[in-house]
Amino acid sequence: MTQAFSYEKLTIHEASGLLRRKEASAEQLARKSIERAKELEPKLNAFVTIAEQSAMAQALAADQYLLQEETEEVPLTGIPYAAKDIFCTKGIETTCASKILKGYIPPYNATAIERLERHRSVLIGKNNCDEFAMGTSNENSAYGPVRNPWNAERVAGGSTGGGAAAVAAGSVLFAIGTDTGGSLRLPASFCGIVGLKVTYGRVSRYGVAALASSLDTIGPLTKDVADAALVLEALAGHDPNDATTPKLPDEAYFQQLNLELKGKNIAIWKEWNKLPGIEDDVKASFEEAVEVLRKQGATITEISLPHAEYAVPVYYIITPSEASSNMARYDGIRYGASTTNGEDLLSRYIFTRAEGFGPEVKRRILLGTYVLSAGYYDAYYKKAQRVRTLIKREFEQAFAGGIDAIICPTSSTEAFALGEREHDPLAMYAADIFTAPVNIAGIPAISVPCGFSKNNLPLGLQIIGRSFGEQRILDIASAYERATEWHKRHPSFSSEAS
Amino acid sequence: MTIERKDIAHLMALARLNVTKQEEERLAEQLPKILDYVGQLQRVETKGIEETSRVTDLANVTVDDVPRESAIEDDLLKQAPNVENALVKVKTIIA
Repeated sequence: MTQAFSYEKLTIHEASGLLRRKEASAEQLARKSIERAKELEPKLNAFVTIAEQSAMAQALAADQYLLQEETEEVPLTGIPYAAKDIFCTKGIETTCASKILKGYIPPYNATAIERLERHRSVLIGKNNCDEFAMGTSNENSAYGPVRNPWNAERVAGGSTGGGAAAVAAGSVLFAIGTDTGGSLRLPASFCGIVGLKVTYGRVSRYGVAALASSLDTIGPLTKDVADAALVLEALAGHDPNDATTPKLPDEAYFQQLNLELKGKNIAIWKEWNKLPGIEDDVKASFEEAVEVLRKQGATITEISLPHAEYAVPVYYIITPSEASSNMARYDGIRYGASTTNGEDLLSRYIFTRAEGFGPEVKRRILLGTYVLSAGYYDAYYKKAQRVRTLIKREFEQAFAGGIDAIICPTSSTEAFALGEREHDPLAMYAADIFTAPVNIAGIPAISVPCGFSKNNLPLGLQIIGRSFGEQRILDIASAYERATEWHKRHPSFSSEAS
Repeated sequence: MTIERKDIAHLMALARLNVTKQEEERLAEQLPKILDYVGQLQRVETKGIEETSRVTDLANVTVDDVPRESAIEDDLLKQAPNVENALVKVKTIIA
């Protein structure tokens, strides 16, 4: 089989064509993927586990299927991907990038993994991430920080940093991760790829370690918008094992992509540039992106969202509260790591958790315990839930007024330096100022590459949609992408020609 | 907002957690700052506003109460650090 493609630049829809035309095999793609992942691991630290054996078995099975005479249209078959290490994967260690789950081998698959298995996608490995998805820089992992493929001294963004680095570097064609306050969009922005945060309930979370149950969502990281539509098609839908997934008709997001921007009403979040700490490069690239959309025929307006700026403090009450309760299950009794310290059951719990959890997890558990405790519950948790109502309502009213999408930058900064914010939780939390409002309102948003900073680091444009309106933001993102070239840039590594 | 060392000790007891001396120093410095920061919500007028705990209309979703076979009992048990006679073993609870 001749190799007329450069693997690391392939999109899903391109690779799928190669597989259908027998110009590549799933085995060949899987081998390339594993080779590249291993080669780049010392530079990026994007994986906790590379599951070579099971990946090759899946690839061979995909090739068998593709050899059959009458195969259905199966765009994800034989495509190498990786999953954040908080998705349960049957027979493959799942650590949540935490010491407390060291050695845990789930006996079942998360629904998302199960669905991709049904499409015969090939799971290459498990991505490094912030411990239990708590973080915005991917520096909170028990396995060390993930490095940015564009510059190894910069963070990849969190918490799905490993997935973003692996996709941007071309190790896998897509990755799946979670987004509770920006954990797909922020790393997508920092690494120059596409990250889709779905409407709460659109994708089943069964088998995925919970962070904040009223905010958690699952979605893809891809090289372009068409790929995001393809992966969403496979992931979306009701699951009896996740009571938050409504029964809605299936949508053919990829087939229905409509790239016409004429007649689309896109509103700029009016207060976006009043928020603190926005870098000049971010402002310039965003304004340029607005002009691109305008030139493509979109009507550009402004919409005021006066309460959206409170999303981060709301997030940092609700998330620690729900996390402190979700983290209670890790006690070292039924699974995961357990200590031999402690004379009785209680002290064994305490020692196991003290030794197993990292600093950010402990910080959030204590913070959550505090704001939920008697005397503070009303002042913090209830208050946050009320402000949440105001934020949600503002978005609802904006979309009820006929807006198709709301736009703003994905991040206020380029990827920052490793270690720069490590000991300053508030600076770290501020990274979510543009992304957190979307989770608080429970609506979908996508981040697409929209330029580069003077330091040659990628920047992202965030397109926010109405509840269960993924199609429309995919349409707009895809139209924007067609008019630009940013998504076609790839990081180069010293060992290869750029 | 003040949060004292003894408060941190109390929170740790509630949360079944323990931290090192160094972590405790850091928490004593960081937690009040974080609480101050989230405290800015007090400025927002929320009189008469209901609380949001879920964003979709789904409520009280139930499944039929029918027992199902689990094919993974053995694999589940294998995950426990300490197992005896197909039971998870823990330290003595009632002496």
